[in-house]
Amino acid sequence: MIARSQAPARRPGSASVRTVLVTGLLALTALAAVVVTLTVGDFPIAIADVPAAVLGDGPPRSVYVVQELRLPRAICGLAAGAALGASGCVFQRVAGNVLASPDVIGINAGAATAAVIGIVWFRATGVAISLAALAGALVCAVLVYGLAYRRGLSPYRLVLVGIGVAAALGSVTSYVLTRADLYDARAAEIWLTGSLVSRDWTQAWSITVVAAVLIPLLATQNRQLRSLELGDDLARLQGTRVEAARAVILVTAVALAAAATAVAGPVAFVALVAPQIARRLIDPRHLGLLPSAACGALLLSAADLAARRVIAPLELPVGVVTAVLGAPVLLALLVRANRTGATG
Amino acid sequence: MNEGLLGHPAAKAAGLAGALLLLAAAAVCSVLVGNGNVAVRDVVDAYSGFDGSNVQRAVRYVRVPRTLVAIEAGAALGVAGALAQGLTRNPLAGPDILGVTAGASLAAVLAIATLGITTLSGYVWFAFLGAALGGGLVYLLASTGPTGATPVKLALAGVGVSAMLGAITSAFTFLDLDTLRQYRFWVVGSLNGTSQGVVAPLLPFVLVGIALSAGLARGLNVLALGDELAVALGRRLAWTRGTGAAAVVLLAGSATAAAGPIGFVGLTVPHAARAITGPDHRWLLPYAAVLSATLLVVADTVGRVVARPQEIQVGIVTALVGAPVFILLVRRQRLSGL
Amino acid sequence: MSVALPLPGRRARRRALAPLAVVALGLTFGACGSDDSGSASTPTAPGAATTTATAATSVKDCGIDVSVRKAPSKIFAVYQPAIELAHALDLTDQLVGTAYIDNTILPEYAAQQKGTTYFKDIPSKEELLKRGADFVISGFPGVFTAEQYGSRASLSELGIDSWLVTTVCPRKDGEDQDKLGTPSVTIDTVYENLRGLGTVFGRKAAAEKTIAAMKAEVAGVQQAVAGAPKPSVAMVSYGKDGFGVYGTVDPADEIIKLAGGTNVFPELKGHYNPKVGVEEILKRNPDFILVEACCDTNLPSSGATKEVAAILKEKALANVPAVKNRHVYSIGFADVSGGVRLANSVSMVARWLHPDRVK
Repeated sequence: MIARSQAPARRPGSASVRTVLVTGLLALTALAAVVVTLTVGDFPIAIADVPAAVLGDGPPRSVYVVQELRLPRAICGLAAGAALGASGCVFQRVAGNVLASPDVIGINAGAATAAVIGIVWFRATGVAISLAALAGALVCAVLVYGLAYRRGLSPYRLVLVGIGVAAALGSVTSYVLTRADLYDARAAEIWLTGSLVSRDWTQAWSITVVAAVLIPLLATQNRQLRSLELGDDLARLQGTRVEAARAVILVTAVALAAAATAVAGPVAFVALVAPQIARRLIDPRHLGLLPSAACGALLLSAADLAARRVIAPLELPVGVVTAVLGAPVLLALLVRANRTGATG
Repeated sequence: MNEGLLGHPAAKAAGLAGALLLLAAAAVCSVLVGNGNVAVRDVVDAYSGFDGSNVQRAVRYVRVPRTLVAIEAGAALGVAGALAQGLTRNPLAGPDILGVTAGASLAAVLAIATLGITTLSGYVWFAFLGAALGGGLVYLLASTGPTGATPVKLALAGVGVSAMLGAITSAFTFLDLDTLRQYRFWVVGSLNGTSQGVVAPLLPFVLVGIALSAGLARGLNVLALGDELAVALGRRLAWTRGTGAAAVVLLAGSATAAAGPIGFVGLTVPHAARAITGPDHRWLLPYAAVLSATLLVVADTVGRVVARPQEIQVGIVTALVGAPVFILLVRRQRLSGL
Repeated sequence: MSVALPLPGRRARRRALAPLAVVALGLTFGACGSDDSGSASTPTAPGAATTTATAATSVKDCGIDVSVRKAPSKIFAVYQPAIELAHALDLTDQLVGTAYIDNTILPEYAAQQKGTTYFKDIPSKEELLKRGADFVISGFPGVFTAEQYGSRASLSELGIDSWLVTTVCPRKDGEDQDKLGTPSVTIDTVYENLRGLGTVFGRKAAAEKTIAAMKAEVAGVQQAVAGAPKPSVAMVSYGKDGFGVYGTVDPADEIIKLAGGTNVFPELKGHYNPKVGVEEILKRNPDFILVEACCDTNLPSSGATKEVAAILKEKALANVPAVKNRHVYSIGFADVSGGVRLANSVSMVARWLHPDRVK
């Protein structure tokens, strides 16, 4: 109980008022983004008619647009964003490094490569694609972990190995898509950037269930997470079987990232940026799992809203929006980390 | 400092001769093997007794120019990588990691797509400009903070900048649909198109880049001892770094203009070279040039053969070969410096 | 970091936005798959035992029953062959939107096209609904995939009927270009499409008139080239990444055949526009090279001037008959699609192949 006696404010499981407030606000803003998503679009529906349309009342086409086009897509954005945010938070905390998020270290790339191979070579559809994405993400995570492990885990070795793995996988994806009979290079580009166009209820439900089960599961692992974060030595002193605990937590986080990728494609930077924003808003001593999830939900929902509207009635893939907005944040984070000497 | 496999200068010279032989063998293979093999006799005849037949034309106007471009671009990337690593004392430096290649390729894409510049001698200047801006931005970002541009910081800034440039290219692609066709070649390095008239216009830039590098070899050796010692030994650090950066831009810009963005060659080959020669740049630079050229020639030949009659871009092949080497490097090297 | 990765240097076209469905769950509707993908459409009369052949109430298109329309429709037409077909059938007034034109519209339909709403890319599904569309005619299957407007079965649940004007149907409703059925492409599929659409929209006369004109044109060409030696033809796109071969799932092969030539790439069936290098052209040694002009509403069929010049200047090809005899021509991308242009395309190519026989 060394950690506890040294830092009484770090009592696991006790969220400060501020953290609860921030989480609530982020979640509310994300919901607000969903409400906006439901009310704006190329098909004109008066705002006053939207609630009825959600419940199935009104002209059939309005009901269809709201119930079948806007709502499942909004839910996919919300749930996939939350999954990415939570996954990013866990990765960053366990590795002790901002950049060790699943989108940077190749987890999303692994999921995407496996999904593309499944689609192109094995003509997979539906659940099979999601399972392929999950398998790809897990294999990739094991690969990155194994390759980066060398008498312990240096965060930067993990990040750099992940970057290498991501590049190799991107090459594999490019190769597969080059050899596929794709009509259009942009179809390939969508699989390399991520998109939420035309998501349906099956997808919305599957990502929602995954997020609703796994995120609370991670939240119950709060204590283990906290102790891992303190460093291996301290964690061992506390009696946590480090590698086992780490494995359980990481597999859960990988599954979250994979599920999000199966629905949205390899969307960049949400997993990286969401926990960082959340962290700056809450008490920095808190883990911030739920705030990160809320923030991820907000980011992906807002980005998808932008993707739908900026060149309307045409659409951008949401991954392009998150990348254009996220890359500068990444660079700013780097400069900041450099200033504080955190990057070494 | 680790010595390389070959210690004695005579051994190094012999090794270099061997590497050149290897390059020659790869080049011969590249000319003879491909979509329909060619006999040695056809190659000789194509130059000594040209009769305008299709076989001879294939040799003279397709295989040989393509092989020469691969050698030119490969040598340029290898030297640029070795230079970048020496200048920054950073094992993870390389034109691809430092944002130089990404900058060059985005600038060339924009020049082709928005300004309608389609000639090599026209857009090569944009490639240089983009290379300088991309590399400069990465270095600037990495230099923030008290520790200066450490290997890890440079690599991370490079990844960030490359991601950003890639995102801009993607957004541009989607917003400006009509120009998409013009620059599809620029998204993956490729030698599939015509290779004639590529080597000659870029040769002056590559030669100047290599000459500058040769002049810097001693300076780089001194630089490796650390800034303070280098200054004490009378080196003008700013001059060495400035000239070196100019050479990297010329070399990486030329290679990108010739073949598009080719990853992992400039980063990984100098390490193989260093393992052979040790840290002396007078040997390291020529080894890096010859080995990189060999790698690119082999990768292009492989890309031509595996999916006949279709062709795989050389950039995909080099990334598949280079990324594992990069991972090995990250595992093996102490990242503190060279 | 996905965005930093290289993209495949592939055909970068703006026709088939709809890609690999990320999760093609839209297919749960799709019990209406087609197995007889070779033939595009065959008029059928449900309950044929009691009805006579003249009273067809629905027409089969790529295995899907399309009901005969009783009132004027609101048609959304995507991709050049679909748009030109609509104009040919005198459906211009019923068009609520058009998208994706790759070459200048045929002169006879220019005035008609001027009055329609045009999108340079496929607009969102909401836009489709906003325009009140109750019928979608598409020239390629990508439109009817989960990532675009959804499978045809799912559209019909919305009260939107559909027609796929294509020379090759996908193997199953909701599938994309990468999953096409047997690629045996003939001009008869265009006639079937015209007849089918003519039946659906009550424009049988216009359909028969167009078919008759097309048949007459093709027959004229066939008569003129009969017995003539058949020159070999490569129909390709040309760019910095090499040559892309046509005649694989598109009507290029049929055009060449009807125009009295042979295709130098007969075996690359089923792949869409596969990429080959200069050497492959050398090896096939074509008498004619036809290079595509693509992707702008103001680009005529003869618009590939840069590509033609580049091929003529290519030293490696100087000994290839096509280049030696300067038989390199620009052909519009729209000319190589399964629409009303096909007869024009046949005459155009025949004039190049047999200038002494076809005027």
